[in-house]
Amino acid sequence: MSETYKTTIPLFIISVLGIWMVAEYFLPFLSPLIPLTDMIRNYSTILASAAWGVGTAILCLLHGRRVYRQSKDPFWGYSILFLVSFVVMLLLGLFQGTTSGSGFNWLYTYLMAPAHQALYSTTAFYVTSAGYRVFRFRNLDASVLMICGMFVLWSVLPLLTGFIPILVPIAKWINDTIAVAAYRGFVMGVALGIIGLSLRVFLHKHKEVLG
Amino acid sequence: MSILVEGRILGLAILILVTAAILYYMQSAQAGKPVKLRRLPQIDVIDEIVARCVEMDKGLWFLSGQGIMTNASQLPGIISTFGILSYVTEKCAEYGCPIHHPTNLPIAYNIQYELMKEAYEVAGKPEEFDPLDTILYIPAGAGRPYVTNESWKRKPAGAIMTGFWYHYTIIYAEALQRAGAMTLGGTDTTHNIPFMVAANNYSMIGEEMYAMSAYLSKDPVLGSSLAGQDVGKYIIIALSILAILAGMAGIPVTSWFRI
Repeated sequence: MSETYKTTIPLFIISVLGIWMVAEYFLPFLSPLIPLTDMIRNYSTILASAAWGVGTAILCLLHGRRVYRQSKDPFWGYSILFLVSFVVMLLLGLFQGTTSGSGFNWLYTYLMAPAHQALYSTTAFYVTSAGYRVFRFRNLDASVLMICGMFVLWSVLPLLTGFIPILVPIAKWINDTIAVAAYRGFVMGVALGIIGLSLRVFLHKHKEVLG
Repeated sequence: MSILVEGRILGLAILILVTAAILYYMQSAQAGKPVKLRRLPQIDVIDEIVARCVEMDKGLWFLSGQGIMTNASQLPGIISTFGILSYVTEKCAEYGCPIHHPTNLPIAYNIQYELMKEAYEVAGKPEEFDPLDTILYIPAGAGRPYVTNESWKRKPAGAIMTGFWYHYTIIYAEALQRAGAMTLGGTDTTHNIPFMVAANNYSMIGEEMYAMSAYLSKDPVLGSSLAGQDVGKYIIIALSILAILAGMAGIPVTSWFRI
């Protein structure tokens, strides 16, 4: 019985709704039912939000348990930090809202966002070191990559393009012709992969999608 | 009112043909004629990485990317990691190489946990599966400092990166390279393929990852799906050639392909 509830019914719902969405895209006589389709999409958003709620509750329970059993986990102190941060953000959001000027917004803008941006900015350093390692005349492939990469990099340097303006059209040709051709071929392959996966899910051959 | 939305007829025709081809190959597989998949060279690379880890007496890291399983465009990449993860874990368990899998996928965590646990059981070493270290859930934001710091401390000898990836690709791959790991990276995320190709020792591009997962999992359904997708590719190649020829002859073909 639990198998029916956990697997069969959810997969059946996925199949029906999935086929419905595909049909709606191709068949215009289904357009009067668009409000129904929109309602289904809204329900999926509500369900996803409910999942966030359940996830947050479980996370709080987990960290609460770690604090309670402090001697068994060397990093239980971080759980206190999590619980305090969670309660502060929750109370600020509930009582002041999330609009501009609220405490919630302030904490997000001046604490969370800079932390994320700092981590994101490290990408530049890693790209540079990877570029230094990769852009070498090791073999034919690496040489082609290096030449194309250099042209594209140089084309965005105003100091260089001022003296050698031909770099811009060369880089544009590389981007618009060679890169786009490869990109489109690749995207078509991935799209076919998505069709294959969708069909497997609709036929209940891929139960992993239920998590 | 027309039966089909104007401009989407060709798309629907391709969809029907590809679906029919996949169903045909699935039917054939069920009738005892599974599709034969070619062994990809990257599978030998996995064996080489595991061997390197065993020889150097160091661990192997498996990273399954980011993304979310509720997004249809990200799902194939995430699903394809499962077959590879299972194979790599089994190989590691068999040869006594400690594997560490910090996953950024909250929904997939349970599946990955079970797959790894099962792989250890299949290898006959269930006691070596550490539920707190073999697989560990790290939120995507915390993953960057964790991977850069921990990879430097643990110095893994090998790493395999597959799945759906964001910009962290370059951070993870470069951090693992600096730690001295031999890396194999694959993704179906268009904007991160250059990072995967450039920063890793070996790479898998897009569909190679799906094919590898199908080959390693030995799942006839996955193999049938791949064969059906190949039919789709032949159709697209034929249409592309026809479109080029028609375009050169002055026939306005662009409107046929507009969706």
